[in-house]
Amino acid sequence: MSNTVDRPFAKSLRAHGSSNEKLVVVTNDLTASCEADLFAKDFPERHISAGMAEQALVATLSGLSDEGLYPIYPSFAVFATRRPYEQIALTIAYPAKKVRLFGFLPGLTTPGGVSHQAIDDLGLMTQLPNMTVLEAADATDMETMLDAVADIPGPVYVRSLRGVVPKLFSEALVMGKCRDVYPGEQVLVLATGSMVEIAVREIRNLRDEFPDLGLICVNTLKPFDDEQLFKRINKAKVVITYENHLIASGLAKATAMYLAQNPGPRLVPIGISDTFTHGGSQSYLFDFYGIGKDNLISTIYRAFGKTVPGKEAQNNASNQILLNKSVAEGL
Amino acid sequence: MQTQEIANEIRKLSAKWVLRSNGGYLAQSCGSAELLATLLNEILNLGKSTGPTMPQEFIGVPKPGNPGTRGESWLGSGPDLLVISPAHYATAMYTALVAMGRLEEEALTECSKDGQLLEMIGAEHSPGMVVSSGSLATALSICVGRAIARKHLEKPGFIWVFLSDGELQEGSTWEALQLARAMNLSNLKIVIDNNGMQVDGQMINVMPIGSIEQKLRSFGCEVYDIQGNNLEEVKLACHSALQDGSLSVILARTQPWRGFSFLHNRWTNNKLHFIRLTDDEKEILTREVGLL
Repeated sequence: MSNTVDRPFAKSLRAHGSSNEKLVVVTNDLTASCEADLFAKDFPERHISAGMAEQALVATLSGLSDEGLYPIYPSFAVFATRRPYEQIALTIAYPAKKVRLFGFLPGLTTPGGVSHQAIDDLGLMTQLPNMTVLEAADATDMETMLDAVADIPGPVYVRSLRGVVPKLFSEALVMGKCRDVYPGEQVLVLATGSMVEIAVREIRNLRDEFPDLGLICVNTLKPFDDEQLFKRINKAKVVITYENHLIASGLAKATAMYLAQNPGPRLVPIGISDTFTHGGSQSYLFDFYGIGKDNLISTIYRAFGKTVPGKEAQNNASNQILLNKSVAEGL
Repeated sequence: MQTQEIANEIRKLSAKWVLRSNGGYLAQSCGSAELLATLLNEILNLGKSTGPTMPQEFIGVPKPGNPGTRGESWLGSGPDLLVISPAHYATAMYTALVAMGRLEEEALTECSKDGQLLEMIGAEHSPGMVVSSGSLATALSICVGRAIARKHLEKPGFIWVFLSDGELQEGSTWEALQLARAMNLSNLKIVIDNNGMQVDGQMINVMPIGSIEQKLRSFGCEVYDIQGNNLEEVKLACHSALQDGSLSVILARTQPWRGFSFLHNRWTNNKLHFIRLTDDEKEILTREVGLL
């Protein structure tokens, strides 16, 4: 289950560059860091190195789109969303341009501290009218994302994973459809992005004890209208959202908006709780800000009205360490 | 310690850091060693450090009414202040503080772990760092604000801002200069590490920005175009800048590969920004650190 793929987006981007001659990639000095290097090497005439100038870069995407090109901007999530926000709102989202923004190093997956940690990117992008927002949870998602969003006429933001990425799923991502990982009705965990790998592993271990514990991977944050997902939510007693983002504006918020209009289960959010964050290793930060596996496990126990037994299982830590190593490159 | 010795220590301790953690920002230290050593040791009136030589643990991010630990404490209470804009130069600052006796050498290992203050990309709580400016080209505007405020409040002292040339690609740098000039700030002094490199490779290939000197002059700056690894040139430019009644910029041409033989290959191969050592490089660096 826990095999990995090296740089899945790099190969996918190159393949799409090959099949779509309108596809252009614009980078802000993070070409290899955001896996656009293979594309840039094969299609140098369609790679625009715009330098560190994100605000002008984003408005440039709008113009490229006006003339019929298909612009893609892969960057760190903070530089893809927060830094050029005004330009995204007014030159990309408002005129509903067919532009693709890919934001890597989501949440606390980077050791780089507050300037590099995108804890608010989903909030910034989902609140923009006209914007479609997805988050990748594994290598298959990154391999099939460009296909999944190809026909969306307006702008898309994709929260992305780079480097050595775990492969959890074999079926291609489908826009607007969640991934049903484990059945189970009483307590339902909804996980996004880099939290999905942890959720899959931990919940697999807990299913003997809690057969009625379900898990869904949510990829499409906006529009948040998947009927299959809603059916599962409606059947649950407790819904736990599990995200590497501020709970005020990410998955928990989207779920809360649904539940406010369709009351039913109790919502228990796990995510970053109204605080900025600092630098450190991924496992340390996940624990420090309460999104590590321990909090997930204890939240699940509490949702079933139980307390966690004295000692938790420690397993499969090696894969996590491998991922930590890969994130530091090219900050 | 003499200024050149401090510069040598910056290179040596930064190399040890990279060897130890097998990853880090070595070229930034190697290129800027003479600049930082001169500014900290000879030019600025920093005052005594008020931070412990073995820094305390990280207590938390700033909250209203509670700014948390301030990295500024290790620079002293002034009246002068040095603000590093590209937070990727944090290792250079930490090692400079060690060379100047403001940090223990052990702090580089003990206080760079999880939950400690010496983060790889520095933040406002990291010793010697003033602002969290890992998202580049934000510190200059903050310093323009501080310089305007000092002028208004008739506070003494110069604010020195250390920029990297890559930050000149960001429009906000020029917006900051525009305001600094309009406000006629003579208490703001800028040093640019003109090393010609950025993450993707050499600036001339990634995003050429033309003549920095001419651009700065057209923004009304007094410009000192110097060799930034030459102590005498750095000192002379700094002293002259202090006499200027206007906004001065020291454009310091530096060699980010200076000090270790394998770094020049990385410059050629566009892999100088962040260094994860190969086995061969590890050997070379271990040997060359011993010779320093």
